Amino acid sequence: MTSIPLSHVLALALALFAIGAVGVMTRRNLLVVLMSIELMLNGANVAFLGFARWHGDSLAHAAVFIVMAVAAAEVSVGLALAMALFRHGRTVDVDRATRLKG
Amino acid sequence: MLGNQASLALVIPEAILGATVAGVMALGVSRAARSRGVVAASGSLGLLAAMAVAAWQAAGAHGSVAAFHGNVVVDAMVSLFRLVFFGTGLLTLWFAYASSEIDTRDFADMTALVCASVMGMSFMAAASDLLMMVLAMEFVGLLSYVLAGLKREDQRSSEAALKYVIYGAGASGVALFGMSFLYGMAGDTSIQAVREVLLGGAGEGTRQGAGFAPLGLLAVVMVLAGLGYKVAAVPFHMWCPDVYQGAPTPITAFFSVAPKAAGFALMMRFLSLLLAGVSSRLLSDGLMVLIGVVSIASMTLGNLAALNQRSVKRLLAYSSIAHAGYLLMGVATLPALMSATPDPSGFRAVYFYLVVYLFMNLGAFFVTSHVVTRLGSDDLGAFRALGQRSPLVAGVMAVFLISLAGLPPTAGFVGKFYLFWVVLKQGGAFYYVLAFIGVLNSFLSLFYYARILKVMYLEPSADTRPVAAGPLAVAVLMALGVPTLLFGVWFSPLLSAAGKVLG
Amino acid sequence: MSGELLAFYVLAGAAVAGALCVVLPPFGRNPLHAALALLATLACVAGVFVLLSAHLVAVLQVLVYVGAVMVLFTFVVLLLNLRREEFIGARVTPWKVAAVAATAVFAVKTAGAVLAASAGARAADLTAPGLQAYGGIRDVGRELVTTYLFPFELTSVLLLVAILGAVLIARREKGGAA
Repeated sequence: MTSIPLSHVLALALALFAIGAVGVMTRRNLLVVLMSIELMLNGANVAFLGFARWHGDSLAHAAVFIVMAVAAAEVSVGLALAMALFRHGRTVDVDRATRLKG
Repeated sequence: MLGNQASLALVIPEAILGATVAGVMALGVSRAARSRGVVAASGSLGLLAAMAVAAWQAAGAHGSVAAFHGNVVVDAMVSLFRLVFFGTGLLTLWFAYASSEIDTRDFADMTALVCASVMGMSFMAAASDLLMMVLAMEFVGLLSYVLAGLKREDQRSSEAALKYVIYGAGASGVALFGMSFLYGMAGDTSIQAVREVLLGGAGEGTRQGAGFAPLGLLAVVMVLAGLGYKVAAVPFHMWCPDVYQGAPTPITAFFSVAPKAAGFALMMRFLSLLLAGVSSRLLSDGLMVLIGVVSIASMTLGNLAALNQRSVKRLLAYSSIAHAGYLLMGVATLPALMSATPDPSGFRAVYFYLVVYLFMNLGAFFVTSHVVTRLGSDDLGAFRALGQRSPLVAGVMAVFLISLAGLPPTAGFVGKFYLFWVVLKQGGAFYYVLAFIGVLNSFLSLFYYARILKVMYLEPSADTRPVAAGPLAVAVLMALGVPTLLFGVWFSPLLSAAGKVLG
Repeated sequence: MSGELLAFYVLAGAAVAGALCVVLPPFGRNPLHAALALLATLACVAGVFVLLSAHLVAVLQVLVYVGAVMVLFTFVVLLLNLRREEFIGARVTPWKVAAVAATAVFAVKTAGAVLAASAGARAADLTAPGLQAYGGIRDVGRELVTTYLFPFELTSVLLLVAILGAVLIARREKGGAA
């Protein structure tokens, strides 16, 4: 029997998720945006495992494992893209990517 | 529920595509065999074989089977959507083959990515487990980012990929967080288990269905937000015009149809599995109003923004946002599905319209791709006097545009008519307002489609040399143009196919 | 307050502080500093996983995130060798303020709904029969090769095409080797 209340675990999950979401929306450096996305996914993982602990269910652990693999794949594509962008404009500034306008 | 080995026969189409991906990747590595023709032929062969098996499975009525320990559901809807995805992949391959925008060196890799991507989409249509949903979405998303950035030498292509990655990864993070709540309610990742909690049935003592409705609504909204990005609905549409303009044109054509159809397939699968028979006014009314408002916002903003675009790719991007709005009208008939006697006719209308949309929208993009390849620009000016310079191409383009605007005697008219009829059939002031705004928007869209027609037929061009269309281009134009006209008058086969969705 | 709860608060506080350092401009101006803050956050989250009896996932968190992903980040930051002016801070625009406000409202609303639903929820008793191995490699591994075998295999395909995609995007255009 653990003494950590479920609501506190979920509060941590929500805090990580919200901080990450703010980072995705406000930061201009692509690398920091990718890190913020990792924060969002980690928030979701904490929530999954918190709930799993309360249900006594191992299934979510396997799910979190797969989500981690997906997140790693996403980071590798995102970083490859950062390198491609840097080669064009010597910058990874999201706001300066403005060749597309309508 | 079938176990892992017993389920293998149900995913033969995807297995064929997996083998195709591996084969094409091998061709890409070998210097001798990576000519465009060989790669396009083997890719087409794989996609055609997968389509044939999918069509055969769609014809055999096997009901709905939960396969792979309930991770996926295989039914007529999956097979029908497979045909849409694989068909779009096949046509994209031919577009790319005829286009100058895809470098021959990248052609094999592009083919592998397109085949893998349509494979992921058919899992989106089949997913009946929360983990499977997010995995399939990410699968398709990741490949889309790469496809958008395929033209490495063009900065705009890289920027398109950048926009796609940021919005896509953010949206799937939101969806995943919503799913964690759904999991928390049920203690199981299967959507069916979450539904049972919402029904108030199988809860373990302390958990009660009614108390979970507010959290359930919040979680469903978060999942729908992740899907709203996939179908490019307002307010998750900001990536769409930039990605469509920056990506290579054949890839843009692919994006405008396949991921959108996959997003709708997953949305329909998720909502029908989660909410069938759940009698919660909070959920049914809340989701109806929410989806309805998003639908109205998408079609209105999409059409208004399309009015003064010079880039045809960008114009078609806004047009596709507006079409996501029309399609969402069908999804907003959700309360009919949640009633005691579930009525999925709204979702059937969505499938019907998606098939029609495949032909007319791919057609419009193919003509644009043709113009970009021959004349080097997708600016409206490049379309000047196309009616004289290439009567066939301009004529077929006119058919596509008339169909997109929803005018008879084309398939677009029948699809829109069906959609509006289903919405009106629901009754109630909300649906009347929804349908009324939809009709107003259809009139609004006439302006920009007609503008392309006017430029093609009435504006003179300094350059009057004819624009050649090769045999492949003519064949593709016919393959897209004939159904666009045919389904306008002879739509009963399509109607009966759509009737199998969630049947 | 039990030691377990105290450890949770320390780890959770450190994780949130690290996350703020990643996102807030004064700290996160330099991507390398942001990467280090993220590293700390991910390590603390691994600690929280241990407190939740998710032992295998905690180990994987360290191996995959702290090990592989963070090395990748650091590698790219160093490889691009961003000049001083490329350490881009945030620029405040009305749109961004609105987005942050919307996120805050959403977070508060969600917290309310979550707390209402999870109030009084009681954790499963891990001494119960069948739960002694909870979160260990045997339990999780069995789920992975039975219930989740199909998603697991699909993940391997995903990783394969992600490699193809990353190579395709980052490949140098000129200069011989394709």
